[in-house]
Amino acid sequence: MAPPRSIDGTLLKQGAEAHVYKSTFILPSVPCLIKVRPTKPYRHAILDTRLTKHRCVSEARLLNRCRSMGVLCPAVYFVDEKRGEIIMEWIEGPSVRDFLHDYVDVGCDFGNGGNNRGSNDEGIQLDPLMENIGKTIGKLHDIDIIHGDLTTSNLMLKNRENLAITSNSQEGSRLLTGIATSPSDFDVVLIDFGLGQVSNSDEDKAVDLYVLERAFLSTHPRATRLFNIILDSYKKNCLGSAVVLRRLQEVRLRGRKKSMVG
Amino acid sequence: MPTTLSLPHLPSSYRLHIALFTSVTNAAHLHSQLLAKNPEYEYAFIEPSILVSHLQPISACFRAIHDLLDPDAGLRTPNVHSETVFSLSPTHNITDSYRRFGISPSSTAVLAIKILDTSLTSYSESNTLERLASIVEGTEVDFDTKEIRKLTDLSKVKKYYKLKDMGYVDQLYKKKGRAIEEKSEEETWRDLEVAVLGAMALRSLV
Repeated sequence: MAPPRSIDGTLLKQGAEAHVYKSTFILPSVPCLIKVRPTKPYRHAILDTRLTKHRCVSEARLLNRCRSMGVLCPAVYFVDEKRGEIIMEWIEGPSVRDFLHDYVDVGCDFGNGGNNRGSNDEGIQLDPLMENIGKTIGKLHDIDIIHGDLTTSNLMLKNRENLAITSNSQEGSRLLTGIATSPSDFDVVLIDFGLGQVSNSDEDKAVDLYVLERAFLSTHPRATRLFNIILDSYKKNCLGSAVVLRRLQEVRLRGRKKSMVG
Repeated sequence: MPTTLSLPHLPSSYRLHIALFTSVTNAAHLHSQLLAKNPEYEYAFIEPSILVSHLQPISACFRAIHDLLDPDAGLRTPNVHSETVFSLSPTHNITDSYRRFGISPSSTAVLAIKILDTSLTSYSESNTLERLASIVEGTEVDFDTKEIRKLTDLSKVKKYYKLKDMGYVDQLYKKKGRAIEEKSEEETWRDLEVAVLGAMALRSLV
């Protein structure tokens, strides 16, 4: 394993698997995100090197496959697999999780029946977003990519006209709240393919949806209706949706793991 | 006017000197000097028709300098300039990469890049730029994406970078009779740009 080096950028997040920095690639005008998988001292050195390299490589490949086949995700700019670094495109905008969170904060109820606003009002803004999410996941599954960790934090919103958005995510979020009335104004971008894989099995795709459903309902408890919009849109847009949705029923009954091993 | 720049994440003493030329008349001479390994002609001479954006050659330089300085990686071609041309390639075949992405005797446009460590005492910016501007006989144009796109040969780019899967999902939906949102010209260029950068970045993993 090559020795780690200090990264020129601001540390944004530190997860169990990786550290994420914001920086620039090549030119000051090209913002980028650097995802570094640091070595884990408690693991055997050879195993650690192999795991880090393998995960880094598979994530980079998936990102590239996904983006070039036409599903939005960060583009890969540079990979240093020996150090477990991926330099990728910077996506400006809030995560769906933050967006929904802010949405609740500003007093819009998105469950059944509103507190401050009528149910007509909530529908206008969130329904297109949910449809867009369903469509994007449908596309992803149609190119046989399984994300593996679909949560609302791993879905981001990018303004189509990406020029005027500030680097402040709060600001970006507020901006979106104002303009998200039309689904054509923003794109749903998938991030973090660390647990992804290429597979055409409907089981894997159903589990992908199941993971999102669990994540969605636990972070946004009143969001059953919203998740159903995602599923409807998935059904409409994804070519192989019928089998996958049938499989989803089974997965719901038994949970994520098919074989009860491990 | 040649462009000079240093790259983030690399020692700032490494500087790129870049100039783009059209109506080039001495491509055959430059090509023969490269083959003769004449140190006076140690430049990265790139065929601009395989470029889709100004980020592409700079990204290749980034890879080349990165590998030059990385004791675990190291260069796989004789010098950092040939490595730059090699870094444009999505495959490991060095000869092919020179032929496809480097200058050929019949080239009429050339992108010339000189990479120098400015901490060396022999470095002189004015000399380097002067030499860069005079080594290629042709009309110098701005090194930017607008000029580069005028020279791009899309069919060559798609073939060399193996981009036939690009936009696969839209093609699939179109075949099934779905309405597809048309992308703007700018979006199409951007998709092409990142697909090419991705192909270059992923080469080391093959």
